[in-house]
Amino acid sequence: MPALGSDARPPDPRIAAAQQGDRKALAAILSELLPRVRNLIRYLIRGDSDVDDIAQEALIAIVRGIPSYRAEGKLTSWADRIVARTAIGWRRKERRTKERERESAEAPVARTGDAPDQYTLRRQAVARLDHLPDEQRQALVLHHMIGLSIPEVAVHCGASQETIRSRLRLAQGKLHELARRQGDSTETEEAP
Amino acid sequence: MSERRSTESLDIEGLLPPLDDQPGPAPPLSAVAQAALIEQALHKGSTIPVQSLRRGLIFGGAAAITGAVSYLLFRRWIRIPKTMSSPTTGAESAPVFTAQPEVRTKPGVEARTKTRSEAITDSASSHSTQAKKSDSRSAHDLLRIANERRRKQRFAEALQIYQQIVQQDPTSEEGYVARVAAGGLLLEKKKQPQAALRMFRSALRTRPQGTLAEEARLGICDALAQQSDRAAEAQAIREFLAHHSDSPARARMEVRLRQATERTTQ
Repeated sequence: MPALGSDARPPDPRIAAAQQGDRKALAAILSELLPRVRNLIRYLIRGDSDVDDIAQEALIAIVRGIPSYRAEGKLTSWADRIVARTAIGWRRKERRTKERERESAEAPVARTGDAPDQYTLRRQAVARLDHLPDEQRQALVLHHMIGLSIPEVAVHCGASQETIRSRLRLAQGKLHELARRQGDSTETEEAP
Repeated sequence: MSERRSTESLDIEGLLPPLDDQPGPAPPLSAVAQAALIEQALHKGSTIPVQSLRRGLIFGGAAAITGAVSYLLFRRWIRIPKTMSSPTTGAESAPVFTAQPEVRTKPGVEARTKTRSEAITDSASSHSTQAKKSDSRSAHDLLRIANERRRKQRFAEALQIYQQIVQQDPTSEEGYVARVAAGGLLLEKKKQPQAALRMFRSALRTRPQGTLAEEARLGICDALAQQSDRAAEAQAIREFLAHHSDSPARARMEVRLRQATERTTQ
C-alpha cells in the first residue's frame, strides 16, 4: 500500500476511493494521518488539553476538503496546511494563555533512562516551544516544520513578510538560548 | 517557494524535531480514543455544516421570493382571471412558495388522493425520523463528552456516559465505540472483568470485523486473565492471533499464550 506522504510512488488508491465517498478508505486515511495531525497541533499550541479537540476539528475539515484535494502534492502536506489553519484559528478563538502556560510549566517530561527516547526528546523540544509567544512559535513551526515559504506563513498568520522574518529571528534566538540554558542546567545537575 | 527555509540560516534543525509519525510530542492516545476521534470526524464531516445550511436556506428563500414576484408580475401582465389561480383547484393551482421543503408529487393525483390517515402516518414517520436523527446526534455528542471526561481522568463519569450510549443507541457506530471504551474502563479502572467481557463480546457480536475488533479481542484476553481463567484466556489468545496475525501485539500475545498454556497444563 503506498504511503500517504510519498511523491515517487503511484497515488494511493484509497484517496480516489475516499473522494468518491468510500467511508472505509477515508477512515483508513484519517487513521494514518491522525498521529501526524496531533503532533503538529501540539507543536503549534501550548499545552496538551486542547490537542484532541483541535484534532477533531482538523479531521472534520480534512473529511470535508478531501473531495477538492488534487493529487498535485503529498496528501500529508495538504493536510498539514488544513491542520495549521485549524489550530491557528482555534488559538485565536480560545485565548486562555495563562491557564496553558501554567499547565505547560507543570507538565512533567517523562524520563525513561539515560538515553531519552523519541517521545522524551520531542516533549523536551515542545516544552522549549511553550516558552515562545504564540506568534513566534507559529511562524517557526509553519516555516521550519511544515516547510511553508515566508509569503505563505505571512498569509497563514495574517502578518507581513517582514514581520514573519522578524518573528523567526526572535524565535530562533530564544530557542537557542533556552537550549543552551537547559544544557547548562543538565551539566550542573550531572556534576558530582 | 523560493524563500522556503533559505533566508533564515540559523541552525534550527537540532532544536526542532522533524514532523513524522514517531510518537510525540502529542500525548499518547489509546486505540479506542483514536477510533472515536475518527468516527466523530467522519460523522460530522459528512453532514452539511450549519453555516452552509443557513446559506442554502437564504439562497433558497431569495430564489423563492424572486420566483413569486416574477410569477405575480407575469400573471398581472397576461391578465389571468383570479379564479384560475386559486390554490384549491389542485392540478391547476399556482405554485405556492413556502419556507417548507418541497414535496414532489404528481400535481393533482397523489396530493388529492392522499387520505387523512395516510397524512397522519406520513407525519408520524417524519417525526420518527426526526426523533431518530436527534437520538443519533445526542449519542454522538455523548460520546464526545465521555471521551473528554476520560481524557480528564474522570473515569467513573466517562463510564456512566459510555453505558448510557450503549443503552440509548446500541447498533450505532457510537454504541459500538462506547462498548469497547466501557469495556476498557470496567477492566482497567473498576476491575470488573465479567462486566468488561460482556461489553467486549457484545461489541464483537455487533461488528465482528469492526475497527475496534483488535481492541475488543485484546480486552477479552485481559479480562479472562484478570479472572485467572487460564484455559479460556489461552483460547481467547488463539482467537486473537488467528484474527489479527499482523497485530503489533502479536509477539507479546504469543508469549502470553505459552505462559497461559503452561499454567493450564500444570
